[in-house]
Amino acid sequence: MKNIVEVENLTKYYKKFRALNSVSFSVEEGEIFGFLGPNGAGKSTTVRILNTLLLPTSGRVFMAGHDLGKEPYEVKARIGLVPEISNPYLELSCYENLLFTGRLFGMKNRDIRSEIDNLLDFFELESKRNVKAEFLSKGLRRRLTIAMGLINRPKLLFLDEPVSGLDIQSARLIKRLIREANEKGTTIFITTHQLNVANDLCDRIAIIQDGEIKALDSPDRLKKAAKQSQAVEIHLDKLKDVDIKELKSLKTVERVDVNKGKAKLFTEHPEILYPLLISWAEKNNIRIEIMNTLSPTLEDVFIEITGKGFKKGPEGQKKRHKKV
Amino acid sequence: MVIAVKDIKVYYMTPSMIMFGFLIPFFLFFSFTVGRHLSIQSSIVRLISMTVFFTSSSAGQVILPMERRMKTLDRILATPVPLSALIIGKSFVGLFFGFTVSILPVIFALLFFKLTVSGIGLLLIGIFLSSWVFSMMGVFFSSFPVQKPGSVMMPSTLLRWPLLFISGIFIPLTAMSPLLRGVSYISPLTYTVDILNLSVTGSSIQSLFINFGVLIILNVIFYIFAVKLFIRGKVLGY
Repeated sequence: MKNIVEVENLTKYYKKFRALNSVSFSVEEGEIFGFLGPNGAGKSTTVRILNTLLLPTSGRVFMAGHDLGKEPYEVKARIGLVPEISNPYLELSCYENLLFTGRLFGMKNRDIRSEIDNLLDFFELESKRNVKAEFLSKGLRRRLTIAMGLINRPKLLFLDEPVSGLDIQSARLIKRLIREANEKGTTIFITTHQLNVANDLCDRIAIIQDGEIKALDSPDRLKKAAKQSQAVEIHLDKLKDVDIKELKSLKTVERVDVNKGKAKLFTEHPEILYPLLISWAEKNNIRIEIMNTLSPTLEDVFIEITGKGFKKGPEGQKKRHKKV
Repeated sequence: MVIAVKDIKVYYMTPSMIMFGFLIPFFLFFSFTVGRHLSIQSSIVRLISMTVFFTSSSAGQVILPMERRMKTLDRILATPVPLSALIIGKSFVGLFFGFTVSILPVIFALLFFKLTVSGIGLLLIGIFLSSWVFSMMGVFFSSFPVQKPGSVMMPSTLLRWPLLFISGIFIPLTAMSPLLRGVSYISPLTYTVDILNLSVTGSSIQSLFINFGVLIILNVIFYIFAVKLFIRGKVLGY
């Protein structure tokens, strides 16, 4: 697969503070790429550089086949930008907002009009065509803002927190529209703190911490590579009477957490644990009401990479670049 | 022009623009003219000088910080619009605002107060050029990376007030001491007042060539510094 973004040794200093330390990664054409990191990790700095809003101290970026440092206008013509806040001009209608944005890209009026028709239809905003943005709901404003980012038919769309603050229905609709835009050929670069959004949408995810990429892979492979083992969660009818030590002594069990009538048994091998648990329950005359296998979530991966434990002690201070 | 037209639609009727760009110059004018028995010519020169100065320079100072805060400026900066076009476009907003607000009292005075002017063409060109210079000055001030109009309005007002008082609007240059008169040449408004005086009353102190030359040079200087500040912001990450 061809890369639409190639970042090579990107470094950024704000005076003496190093925000990015030789960051390198690539985004494949046609994928939905997630860029995650805690506040102050270097996420916004990286994205602002890719958006041509910030100059790097060193390093190179190639986007859509063009060197960002040498041909910024070629790059700008091929990207779309959707900020975290939905910020259409409130005094302008949906049509006028899209028209203005299209004109910024130097598009011909005929092309803009046809693209506006497509986008209003695609984002289900046709009935709001001449409605001022100030009268739109939060969800509709979000849709309009994303539509403005797509007016120039960008090869690469940067989406910052695409569904932040939206109700469930609006969030689901936006996610569907993002997937459909991606299916139509637009590569999507998402930055978000909402790990479920990244998990649902992204083909690959990069996690940045302290100005360095700490992990980059598909959500599933990141989860498989997580240090935290899987867990078997059981709901028992007589949990109060159960000796936790007995559960802990079962083969392959590493740790047991008990909370609100549920016991969570951490294990690398749930398939070995199942029959052992059933035998143990029969022997002790205990009924297992529910038994679930819990896999590590993206949140577990994120915490493992960016959490406090990662930084503690001399081990944690060493550079750990998990390339799975 | 696309940026200018959008800004005119979006921002002209905002409270900040009405307050700083429209009401303040008129309040100032009435504060300093009522009861002074000035001729209609002198009054109109004073009024236009103040509207050109305050109205034109307010636009950029209101719009750019608001756009920076709302991240709409980021959207424009991420498109293939050259920085030069963005800055000139923003300066056109103040230019049109200042020109329109300044020309209205002239029309009113011509129709109802029997105002006579020595050169209407020179008056229009003078208002146009001055509006552009002061609008560019406002864009320059707001190119400092602030996100609230007040953050740029306050310091710029501190600078604009002294410029207003030394520019010959209230005390004619001929009545000033040589020292104060020397200082008055620092103010770009001095050259505007001289052009307006010549076009309305027929008398001026400097040559028209110097007045226009200084204003054009200042426009270029404000533009260059605005560009430099934007580029500096891209390096420092504002």
